Amino acid sequence: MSVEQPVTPRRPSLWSEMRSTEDWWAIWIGGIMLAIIVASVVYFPVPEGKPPVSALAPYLAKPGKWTSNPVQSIVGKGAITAAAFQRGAAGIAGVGVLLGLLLGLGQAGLGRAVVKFLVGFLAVFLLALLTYLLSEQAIIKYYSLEYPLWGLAVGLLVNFTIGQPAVMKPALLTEFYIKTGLVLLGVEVLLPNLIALGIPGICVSWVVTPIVLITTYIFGQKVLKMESPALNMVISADMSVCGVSAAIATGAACRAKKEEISLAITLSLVFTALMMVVQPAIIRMVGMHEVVAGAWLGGTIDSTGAVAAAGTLVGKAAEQTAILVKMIQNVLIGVVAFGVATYWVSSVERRTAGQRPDPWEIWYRFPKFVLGFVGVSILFSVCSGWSAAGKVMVEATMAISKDLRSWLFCLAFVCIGLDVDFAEVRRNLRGGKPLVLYVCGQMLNLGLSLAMAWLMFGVVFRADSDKLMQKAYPPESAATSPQEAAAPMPGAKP
Amino acid sequence: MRPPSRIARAGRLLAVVATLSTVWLGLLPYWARQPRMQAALQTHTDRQINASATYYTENPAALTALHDLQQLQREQPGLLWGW
Repeated sequence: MSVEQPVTPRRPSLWSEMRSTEDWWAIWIGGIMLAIIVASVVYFPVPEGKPPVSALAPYLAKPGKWTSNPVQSIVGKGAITAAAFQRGAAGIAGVGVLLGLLLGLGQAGLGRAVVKFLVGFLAVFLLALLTYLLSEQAIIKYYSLEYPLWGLAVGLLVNFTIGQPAVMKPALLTEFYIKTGLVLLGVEVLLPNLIALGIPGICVSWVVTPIVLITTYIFGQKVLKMESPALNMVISADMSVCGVSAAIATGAACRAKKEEISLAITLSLVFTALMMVVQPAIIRMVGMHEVVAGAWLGGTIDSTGAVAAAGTLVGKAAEQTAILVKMIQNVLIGVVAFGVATYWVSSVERRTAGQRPDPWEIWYRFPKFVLGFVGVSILFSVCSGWSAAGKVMVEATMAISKDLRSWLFCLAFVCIGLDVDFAEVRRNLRGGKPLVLYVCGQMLNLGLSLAMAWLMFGVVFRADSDKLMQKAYPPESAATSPQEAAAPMPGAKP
Repeated sequence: MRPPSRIARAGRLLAVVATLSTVWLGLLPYWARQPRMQAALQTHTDRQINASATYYTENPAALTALHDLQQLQREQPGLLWGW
């Protein structure tokens, strides 16, 4: 009698995987971009630049802030002249050309039609430019309504009015843009910043954040019985870590659907707009110590920019503490994305597949672009800490790579809006579970963060908190009291 | 259900463009010129705050705060590390 052996699926070799999968191509393209930027910083620096910049910087830019005239967004700071407009437009066109060529190279490597991609890419890029023009308006920026929201809106508006144009279809590569953008984001994930705020910073960011993330996820699975574990994870991560960037990184790590990432981000931005006004009002009402208040704001408000904005409504010390706590959470997303990717392939996908995967299976399923993201983060963290020259090189590289990363994420959100599956959105919203999950998780976050911020900055490190206050309000400038330093609420009576 | 005609789609597109133009080129600039809003916007400009930053590197205020803290820690070693 013969015993049937289980059939092991034939897997492609590592080399063939490296040439034929989107994950690896995201690493190659991100790597080429970084190599170009680093080479330009090292070999073609602008001598008088302070901080030092690469000669490439003027040719790789994104629209800036404007108040009354959108042309100011292209021109940047300074008077609107034809020459200034040409310079600004060249920076935007330069990004279009570089991204088009390198992403086109990726399409060629993946065996797809390059010319059709380039035509579609041009159209999607123009929509991303429109997205930036909408999101860079001063009031929109003030209320922390970040570009992902407007990217989604622009894509949806095109979808609702003229429908998804066929010409754009080859360039609707949401995951590819996100993965390549995450590899570039690695430059900004500088690991030494994780300990910038010492022991209290570690307790507020390293201890509370994982507890809230894991508890919210378990609550979603066991109590709310969320249908999609990926949606549960993305909402838990964007609420507990740092909003949009965490949603993008963990969403890609657990292979969440694009509709799930966009739902999590929309929830996060709506609550951010609410919390950035309500929390400072509560803090001012109860007269909380500014440093404790800053740590609480930084630990709870999702969006990175909104944390700073909310901090200004309390005072300078609160603003600085809030920014630093959020910065640590920002850097944590490298660790969180790696942890989520490992947990997903070794545990969640095992449950769906019904059998325990061996280590090779885990490696095979692991989202490889996460390795690129973490690898770039480690490499640039080491360079930054190695020497003063290394730090300068990393800062000059980051000055360009962060704009390219933003463009890639912006392209991704325009694509989500253009390609959204409304049946999937309806399925996700059923029973209001995502909203309940977010609210319950955020309540836990608010309570735990406040307790830890008070214990660390208000009790154990009270003397150090007072030194931070003295730094924010030095005695020689006694005219600036905490009350004077707090920005007025825009709607409040003077 | 029949898909909308080309004219209907063009009409919807025009309506969207008109709405966006009215809000972004008319209402928002008007709001930004109001004294209270102007003061609030100026505070962000003065303190180099980018309230729509998705990551700390997009916020110049974050880099300043980090620099200030590092300077304070050099002046007072053990700050935030000693129990």
